[in-house]
Amino acid sequence: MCVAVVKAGQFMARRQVLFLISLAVAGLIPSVSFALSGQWPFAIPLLVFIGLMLYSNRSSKPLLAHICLAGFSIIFAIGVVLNTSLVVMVIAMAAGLASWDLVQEIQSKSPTTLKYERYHLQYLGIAFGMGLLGVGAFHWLQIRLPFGVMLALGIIMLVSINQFITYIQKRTGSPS
Amino acid sequence: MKSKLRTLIMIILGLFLAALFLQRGELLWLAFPFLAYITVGLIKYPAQDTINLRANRQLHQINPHGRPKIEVEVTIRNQGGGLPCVEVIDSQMEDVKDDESKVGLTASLSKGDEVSMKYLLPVKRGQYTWKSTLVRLSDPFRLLSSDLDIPAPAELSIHPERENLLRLPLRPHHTLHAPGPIPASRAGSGTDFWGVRLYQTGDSLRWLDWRLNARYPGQFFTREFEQEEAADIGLILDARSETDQLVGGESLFDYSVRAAASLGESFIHQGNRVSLLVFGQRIWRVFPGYGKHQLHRILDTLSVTRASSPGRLLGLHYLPLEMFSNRSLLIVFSPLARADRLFFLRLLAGDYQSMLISPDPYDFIFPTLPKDGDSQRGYLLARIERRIQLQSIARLKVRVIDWQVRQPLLPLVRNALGHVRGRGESRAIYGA
Repeated sequence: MCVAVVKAGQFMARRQVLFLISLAVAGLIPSVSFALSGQWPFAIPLLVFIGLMLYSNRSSKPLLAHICLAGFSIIFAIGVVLNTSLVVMVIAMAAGLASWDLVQEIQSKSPTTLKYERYHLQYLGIAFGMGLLGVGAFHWLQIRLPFGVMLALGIIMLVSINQFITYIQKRTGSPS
Repeated sequence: MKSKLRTLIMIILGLFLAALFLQRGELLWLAFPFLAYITVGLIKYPAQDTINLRANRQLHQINPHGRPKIEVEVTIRNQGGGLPCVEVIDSQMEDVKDDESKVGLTASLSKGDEVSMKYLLPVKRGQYTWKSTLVRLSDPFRLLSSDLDIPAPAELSIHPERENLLRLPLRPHHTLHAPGPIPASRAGSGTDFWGVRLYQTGDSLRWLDWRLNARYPGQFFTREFEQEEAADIGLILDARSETDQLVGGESLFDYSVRAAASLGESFIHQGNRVSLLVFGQRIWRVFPGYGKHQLHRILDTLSVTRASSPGRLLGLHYLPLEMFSNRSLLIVFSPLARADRLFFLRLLAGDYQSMLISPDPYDFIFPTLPKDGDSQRGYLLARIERRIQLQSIARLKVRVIDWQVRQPLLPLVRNALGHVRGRGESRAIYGA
């Protein structure tokens, strides 16, 4: 009915490329890893989820992207339990998260400015880097935490997130 | 909490529970990217005390290919701290709230930045009002958001389409004693020659008839010109939903509005005094006046009128006519209801000179009628009934135009108005 004059910008193409790259990383690296460790049947559901993610990109169904992210998490968790490389699984998880974020930005109905696109990609890069750096640091520093400590840290982390969200909500009024 | 954040927390919780039940601490490493993502998002969420946004809305009417559109430009200016994600969601009209009618734009705004959003809105006759625009502030990953309604008031009237009727040859019974375009059948300060009389003290020497002076020595003669005066014209528009017809999204009433607007504009441009009365659920009045402002008043009123039911006061004969002097020429736009002849009887009793422009409802709905014999016979009977009604109204010294709305109005009006002066003359003019 009406035409928005502001154009979506050339970053749209870049976002698509980044989405495909991150999806490829999330799909191919763990698949190869599964195949090399003789657990190739797990590569099949992973590739199905990759296909679904691609489909959700085309069909703009946000729920499908959420399901795919949950599916990635389950498969990568299985990979970790089956003693596949932890680093590979964490990298794939981060890439899956990035592809999930990008697919939702691509599906967004309203056009975006170039500045917003740039900011979003910057922050996504920062989050991606922070996640990998954190895991990498712990991995290369060979810090082995006992399960109890890990559990306690996890609980503290969840409580912290909850507190942080409450604090943000108080600070900013009533977020929807 | 938005669905994105909910999904992430569910996954983190799932990984945590899996680690707990399987007693595999390394599963929690998988949650690390999610935690980093949430942390970065929430840190960049804007604080309430740093938000200071101003909105401005500008409206322009454009008419590409004769179809009116409003170009809406919404500008948001950030006078507070940096905002990583500002989604501007503009509802196209104040009273429309569905998602289809919304347009949006997402931007990042640093301090002092502004962003503009333009869109075209196809419109019809009416008044369009905006009060505010919705701004949704969130973090760069849109995990949390808060909505702000920022005032951005604007209003625009889209006037009805008008035919260019140029100068209509208006010949009313009465004129006002004010300069205008209509020859008043008496001597005065016009341009057309009227006659010659004896010179009187004070007459301008420019108007002496030198030929006659030469023929009758010792006497002086002055030429006289026909006085030109303005007419007092009242437009009465029937907005009763009972007389309206809708065919494929087109309303017969809209044709009446267009005709009233075209004639009103033409009469005002000629320098006449024009007033308007619209009769629907309520009565809209524009009291008599001249000039551009009066034209705007009339067009603004015609913009907002809609066909609506007047309730119990269904007949035209309930109309209050006090606003029209009985020296007015009243032009009535109505497809007519059964009892409307009474109204014209009342006009005759009040010594009003009147004209009826009646958009033909049967011709308007004819393309949608079934082609079976019963429908066709019904159509013919309805037409005969209408013809009889129009003739009975024409006998009340009312000039009647039976207007088939897909035909141009100008020739019919030109023909009818050109003959209005003759008292007692009455006949109906049929469009086809």
